[in-house]
Amino acid sequence: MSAREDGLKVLRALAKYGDIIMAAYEENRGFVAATEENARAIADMDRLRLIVPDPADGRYRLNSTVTELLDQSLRTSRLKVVNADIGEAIEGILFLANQYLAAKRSASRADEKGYLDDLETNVVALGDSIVGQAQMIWRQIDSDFGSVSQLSSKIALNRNTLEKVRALIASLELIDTEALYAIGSQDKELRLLQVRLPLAIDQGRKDLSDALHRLNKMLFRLNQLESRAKQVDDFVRYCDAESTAALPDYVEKTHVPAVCMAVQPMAVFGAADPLNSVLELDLAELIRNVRKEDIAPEATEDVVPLSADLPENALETLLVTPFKDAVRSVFFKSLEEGRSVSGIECFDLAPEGVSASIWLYGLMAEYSAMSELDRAIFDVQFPGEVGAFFDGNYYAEDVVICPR
Amino acid sequence: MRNDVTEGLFATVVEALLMGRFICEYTDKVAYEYLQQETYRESVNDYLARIGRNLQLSSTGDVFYCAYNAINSADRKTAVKAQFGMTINQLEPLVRWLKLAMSALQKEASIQPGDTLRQGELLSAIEGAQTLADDLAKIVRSGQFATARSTPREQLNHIMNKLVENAYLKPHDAKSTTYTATGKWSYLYDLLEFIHTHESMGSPEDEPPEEQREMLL
Repeated sequence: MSAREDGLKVLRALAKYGDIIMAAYEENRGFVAATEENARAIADMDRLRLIVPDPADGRYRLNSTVTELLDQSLRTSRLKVVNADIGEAIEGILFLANQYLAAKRSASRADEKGYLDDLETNVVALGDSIVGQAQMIWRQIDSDFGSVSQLSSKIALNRNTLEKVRALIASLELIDTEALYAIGSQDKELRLLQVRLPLAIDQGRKDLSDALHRLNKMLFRLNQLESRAKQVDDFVRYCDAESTAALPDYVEKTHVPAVCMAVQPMAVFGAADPLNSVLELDLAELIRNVRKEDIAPEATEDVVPLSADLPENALETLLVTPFKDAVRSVFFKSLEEGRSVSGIECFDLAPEGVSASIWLYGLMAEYSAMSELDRAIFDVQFPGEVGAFFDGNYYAEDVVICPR
Repeated sequence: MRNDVTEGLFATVVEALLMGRFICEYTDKVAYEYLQQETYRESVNDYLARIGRNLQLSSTGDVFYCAYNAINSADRKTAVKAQFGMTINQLEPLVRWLKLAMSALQKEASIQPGDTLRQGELLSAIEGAQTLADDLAKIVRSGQFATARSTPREQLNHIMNKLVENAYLKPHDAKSTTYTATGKWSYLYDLLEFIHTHESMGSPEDEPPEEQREMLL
């Protein structure tokens, strides 16, 4: 048997069993419904490999080549079902392109130009229509369906637009771009079918996919708003009929949801950190406001004014106490030994009964009372620490005297 | 310097959460944005976990708040009960006011975080409709909005102040009568949804038709 005869047999079988094949393709996702009447047809189609048993359950389904053939052939008519405008426009474009090629082959210049002009107009119109539809949908989205104010109307409008977008996307998916490329490659004048139209289709598809995402999000939000409003109504109705006291104690349940376990506000705790400079202003404000009453003015009537009258030529002898003497000796010691001397180290020089803090105060006071000239001889440091509370105090633990 | 700022924010956010505050972009934008970042959110959550608490985000992602991890002691139970009891007590007048505001503003949707509310607009609607004025008077009769004030203007003013006090509204400035709804409404709706589901509060029209109910049985 020749290949030609085999081919003819397959084509005849396709024609003979067309109804069964189309029923399987359109209504049964490719599976052939097995009945007593079509048992012979199934056997015949199986022999010609038009149908194959499915490995999962043994049911016969259309061979993938047959499905692809039908997909390809029915693309335009399915497109017309989904979107008549786009379907017809694509059909018209393909028709004009073919007519243009035919006119060119027959060297009919006038027809050739006429078809080409028409083709260009149709391509531009289709591109504009796709982009225009996407833009119109985006305008509605951007205005948050501003043409209506009621929530229910917005939801209805959103649903309607969603359907429209889905249909448009489906119709764009059905455009046979391969066929457009194939026909566009036959002539340089037809390149608009390879570039311009596919670009418009891609752009439209992208815009519409974005719109679909946004519309779904908006619909979710609108539905949420609607359900919240309903919950408010229902709760008020519940309160009218009963009282919130009738609500069960959810805290007693086995699983208490987080929404019922919001924390009880914790009281302010802890102490202020006096070393944190960020708190300085706040603490200063607090300190300023602690004393509410005015400070009483100091009594002045009993104060005896200091007399500035000294007898003429009178000599005032200042006594150098043992304490002052001891304090000075520390400064002299530092100069004599040419090294830094610690006040605490020299505490044994202090007269008996003097506490360490008085001793250190004495050293500080001596240094403070020096003339600028004398002070330039010594470098005095006060190792210590800042007070634990923000009161501006510095607690010196030692006085270290060092000759410069 | 940057570390100091981050550390300062961490402390501020944790303290606010422990004090029962609700953090949203309308009450504290900086803290809200801080918690929006996963790293910081995790560090806050880790800290809270150590003291038996955790960071919660409302279902719509509008507001952060702090909740206990579990009720594992009598003290904790008392604290949770006290707090939840207070919330429930406040719920009825709050929801009634919400419904009143929706009716006055002729809005189908309830107040959402970020919505702007103008006291003047509400007042003129209430003063223009006796039913709304009666509803307002009923709301201020007891509960958290209770007041002896008699005119709708004073009553509404009292409620708005209370809503600001409870962090549901934030005035545009100290003396303004225009407010922004905060993210705390989102928490309220989550709570309402929980109660709605658990108490089957749906209206009769939500119930399945007779034949479907039979199928369910």
